[in-house]
Amino acid sequence: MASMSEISTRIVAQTETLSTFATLRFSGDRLEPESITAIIGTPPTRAYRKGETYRTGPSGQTAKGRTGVWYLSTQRAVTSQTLADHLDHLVNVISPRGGSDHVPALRDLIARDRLEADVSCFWYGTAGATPPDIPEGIRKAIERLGATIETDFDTD
Amino acid sequence: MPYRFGMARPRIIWSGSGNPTNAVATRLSVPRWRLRNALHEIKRRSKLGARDRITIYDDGTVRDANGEHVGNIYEDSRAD
Repeated sequence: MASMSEISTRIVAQTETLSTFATLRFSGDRLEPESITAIIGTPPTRAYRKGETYRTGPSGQTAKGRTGVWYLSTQRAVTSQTLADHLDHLVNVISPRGGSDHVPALRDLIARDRLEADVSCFWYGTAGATPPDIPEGIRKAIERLGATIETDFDTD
Repeated sequence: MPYRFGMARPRIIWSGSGNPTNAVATRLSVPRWRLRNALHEIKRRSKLGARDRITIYDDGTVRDANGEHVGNIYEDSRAD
């Protein structure tokens, strides 16, 4: 059960946060999207091979992949206004609680196909709002994958 | 949106690296957080870095430094 302090922190985060989400991305010229999906068992938000044409949105406009990308965004999957909840969702994708750990297989694939893995954190708050912290446990779980963490924090 | 004969050709309202100004959000009639939100999603999906140069048009189209279409602010910003 959450403590009063944790609940208070979350309420402040919700009122000061206008938008937050996190993304997990694998990329590389040799990336085969199906290989990532087969390990993780979760479909990506968008994925394409190098040189492949992909749709950028509902209008049907297309772009050509400069490199291969497998990309999962929490923007629509997680409704919480707390960044940690979005990151927790991604950690649960790569290492499901109560399920098999996908990190060793992902690390093998990253090394074999010379891929890059990174996680981004987007947060936008009201004027004067304090940007969120990334919990240490989540940071370690992401780093265990060999992924870098990027932050994009801004306020009105 | 693709340009068609008879339609006004989209105009450039921002071209550069880094984060667009508040004027860009005003021109697109979206809150600044929605603009930043959409650009983050577009750059991540396109394997562009935060400092990579982009061009934004008044119909929401976003192109990379090579002029390639990479997304649209209206399609990539969460409406809720």
